[in-house]
Amino acid sequence: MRVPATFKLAIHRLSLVLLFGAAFGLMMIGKADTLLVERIRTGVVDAVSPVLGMLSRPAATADIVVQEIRALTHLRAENAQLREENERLLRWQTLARRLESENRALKELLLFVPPPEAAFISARVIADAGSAFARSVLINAGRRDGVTKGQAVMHGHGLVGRVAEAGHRSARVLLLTDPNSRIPVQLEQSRSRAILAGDNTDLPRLNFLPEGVEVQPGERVVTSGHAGAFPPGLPAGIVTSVTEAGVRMQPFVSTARLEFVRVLDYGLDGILGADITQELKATTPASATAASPPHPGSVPADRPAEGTQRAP
Amino acid sequence: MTTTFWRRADLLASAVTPFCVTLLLILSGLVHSRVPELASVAPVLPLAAIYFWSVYRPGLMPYLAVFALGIMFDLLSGVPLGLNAVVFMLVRLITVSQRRFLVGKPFLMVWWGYMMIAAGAAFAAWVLSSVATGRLLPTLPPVFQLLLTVGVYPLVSWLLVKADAGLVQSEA
Repeated sequence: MRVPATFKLAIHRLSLVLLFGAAFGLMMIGKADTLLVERIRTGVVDAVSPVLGMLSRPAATADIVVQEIRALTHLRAENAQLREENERLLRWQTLARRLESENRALKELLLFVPPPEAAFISARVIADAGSAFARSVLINAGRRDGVTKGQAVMHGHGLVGRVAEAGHRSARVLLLTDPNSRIPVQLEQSRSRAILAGDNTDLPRLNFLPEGVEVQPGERVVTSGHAGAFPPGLPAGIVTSVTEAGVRMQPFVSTARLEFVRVLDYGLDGILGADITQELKATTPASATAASPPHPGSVPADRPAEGTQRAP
Repeated sequence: MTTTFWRRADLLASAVTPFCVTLLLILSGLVHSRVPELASVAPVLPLAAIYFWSVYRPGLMPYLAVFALGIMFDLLSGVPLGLNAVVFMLVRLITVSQRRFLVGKPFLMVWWGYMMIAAGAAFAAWVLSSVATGRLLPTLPPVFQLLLTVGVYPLVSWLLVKADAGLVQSEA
């Protein structure tokens, strides 16, 4: 049977319009029903994560070879530097030990309830899932390993980002620099709170700093533990520039060389925990305006932190 | 019946090869490279494949396949769902409309055409993701990404020619 050419062309045009409509429709759905899209995303990522893991091995091997050669050429200089650093760190260690024992003694005096101990889940980075418009990585640990949405992700001594989606055996980590990343932080010296907001540049911004706070470049930025998202005190970065346009921070961890990361499991709800909204409804406005303690770390963990009312 | 079983199998293999090759390019583009800041400027490899087959064998790269590849790319790379589906379909639409200026022309001409279309695609992607994010995104990463996307075209094109040579010579 022959279909008339004009009819064929009409069908062709109609299907094209439908496909464009479907694509725009999906963009709308992605905005409206994030949960559904997230479920599809994690499913697909789960399915291809073994392939990505396999493909990332040769890249890792090549990287190791290059690094080995580079390390060999700098061995002497590095040795001298490490010796010096070791000496300095030993002095710090002595200081830290003294402070720790002093701290313990003082806490006993105060009947302080310690925050929960963290458990770590170590995972390998299997894909740079970013693009020119988003910054995230995929890791090879998921719900079966205890990774859940909202957990903090660290590398060495610095914050990398948070778990944005957790699949069965893989998860997506939203980096600090992603335009959608918002993390409650605090300046270490002045204890002023701010929201660390990524904007797709290497230096995320510190938004909503209180008026009149003096910020100096070089000041350390740590997580504040507000919104029940992250445990307080995780180092995030160092303030690099304070200008009219805003305050920017250099993260401690360069995302470029991420190979293994640690997902922190503090037993908190995470940045998007469902309980937060319930607590929001449960708390009265009076308690929401209550003065905050000077150190958020001293808030007992079994009670919702006062910051939970500030959930974005 | 002149079409034998093997002939049909050949045709089927030819029909799915462009899709599979493009999918492979999507996956290899995601592999964790550990090159500093590469992820934000990494070339959009599947774009070259969609352009290539839209020029030489549009029949093997139908809109439905382009749509599926775009969705797959969106899901894996974490950008708003539907963004690359729109961009890829636009690329196919415009490339096919300009085919007569590209088919049988010297490589430099085809490369030039790719540069034009990739620039349009980068701009469309920037506009769409800015709309989806709700604010204007920085323009520098997409510009560098575009330079790399255009820069690697000769290499990707060479691979695609190899893949294409193995396909049955009839337009499926």
